[in-house]
Amino acid sequence: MVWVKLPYIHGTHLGTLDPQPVPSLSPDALLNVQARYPQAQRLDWFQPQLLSHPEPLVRVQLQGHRLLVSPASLTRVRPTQSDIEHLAQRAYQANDTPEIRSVNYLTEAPGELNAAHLPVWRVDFRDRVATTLYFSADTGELVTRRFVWWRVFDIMWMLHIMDYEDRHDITKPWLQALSILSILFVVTGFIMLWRRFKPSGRRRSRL
Amino acid sequence: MKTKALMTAHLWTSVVLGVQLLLWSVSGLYFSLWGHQALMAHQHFQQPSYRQAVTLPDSLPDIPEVSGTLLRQTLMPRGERWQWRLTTDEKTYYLDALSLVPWQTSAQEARAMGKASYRGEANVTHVHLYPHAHPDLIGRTDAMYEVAFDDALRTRAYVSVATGDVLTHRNKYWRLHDWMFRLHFMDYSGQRDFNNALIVIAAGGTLWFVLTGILVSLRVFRR
Repeated sequence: MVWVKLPYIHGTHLGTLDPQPVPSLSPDALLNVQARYPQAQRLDWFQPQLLSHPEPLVRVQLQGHRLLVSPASLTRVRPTQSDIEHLAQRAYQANDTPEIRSVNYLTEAPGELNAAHLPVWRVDFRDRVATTLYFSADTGELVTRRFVWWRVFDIMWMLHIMDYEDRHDITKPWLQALSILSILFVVTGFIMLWRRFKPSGRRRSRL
Repeated sequence: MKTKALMTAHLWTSVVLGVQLLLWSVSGLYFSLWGHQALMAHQHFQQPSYRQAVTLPDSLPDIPEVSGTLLRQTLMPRGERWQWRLTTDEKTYYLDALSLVPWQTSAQEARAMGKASYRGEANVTHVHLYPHAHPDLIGRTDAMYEVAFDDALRTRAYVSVATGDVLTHRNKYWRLHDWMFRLHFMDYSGQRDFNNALIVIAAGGTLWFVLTGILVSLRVFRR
């Protein structure tokens, strides 16, 4: 875990969607979207790079989820499966030629995905590191990247924190028990060393 | 290697690494007893929501010319005002959406924003400006307000002057948490980089210590 660099494990090199230029949008158009979604916490005018809708769109941030809205028609836009395939091919950088193995729509999170990102499209690639890119089904944004070394790291993390079920709870009682045992192990080790090497000339205890 | 030489190697490794093994175990136990949220000092943290605090204006002035190519145009409520965030390929501009002047969080706004980020009941005891970041926010150098609460944890919220973002929370245990991370990651700069050379050497040494220990045990028991 200390040897392999953390940014590599996070898999930024596997793929990224470069933001594209947008013309400025009139403030009135954004105010109309805000009036349509009065609870919105944030509105982002940007280019989501969808084939089915090539114009830039407004991303509306609501409590706990996001959606894409066309400021012209105030209608919601959802990325289609072919949009996601196009985005995945655009984003992919792990290899020269992206070869998609499967595309799946998920409403339940696999162990390697934070459930807050749901719903997502999972795009698996056929390559040597088993690259998976996850895209938000609401906005088409690339949310997470996974590959074989992330998955190995995750197993290491599971062993490290001794949560063999969900791999994220660091407060398991057996971890605490083992930490205490480990402290005792080091302290008794030092006592043994002290007895063996102490200069008083008394009989050395055997290891 | 002869058993005796192996034993000596094992012994000296233990002398060098014993202290670090103890630090790893103690800090690991400490983390496990506190749990993730408490270690972040986020017991009372919530994402602030401002939509109720501010009314929608009838109109806003057009956004000004910015240098670079526009990549994202963001409008959001920030306390009782609306803010533009204009992201270009060169930098991000934070502007008051009505006056178009660069965003500056006032102390009064910081107090409200800090309170909005606090889940639970507590009173604000003080709001202080730190022009060059608070020392508990390692790696930051920008101006921020500290909003302190009168709860049992002595929770403090930090609000950016330039953006109005609530950056994070800290509390009276933070320094201790932080030192435990320094000891556990062997990164005494506070950056929490566990890929540093020192910890790689220590981890390699520990592996060597365990392997020689297993070898010594096997040979001793076989006799």
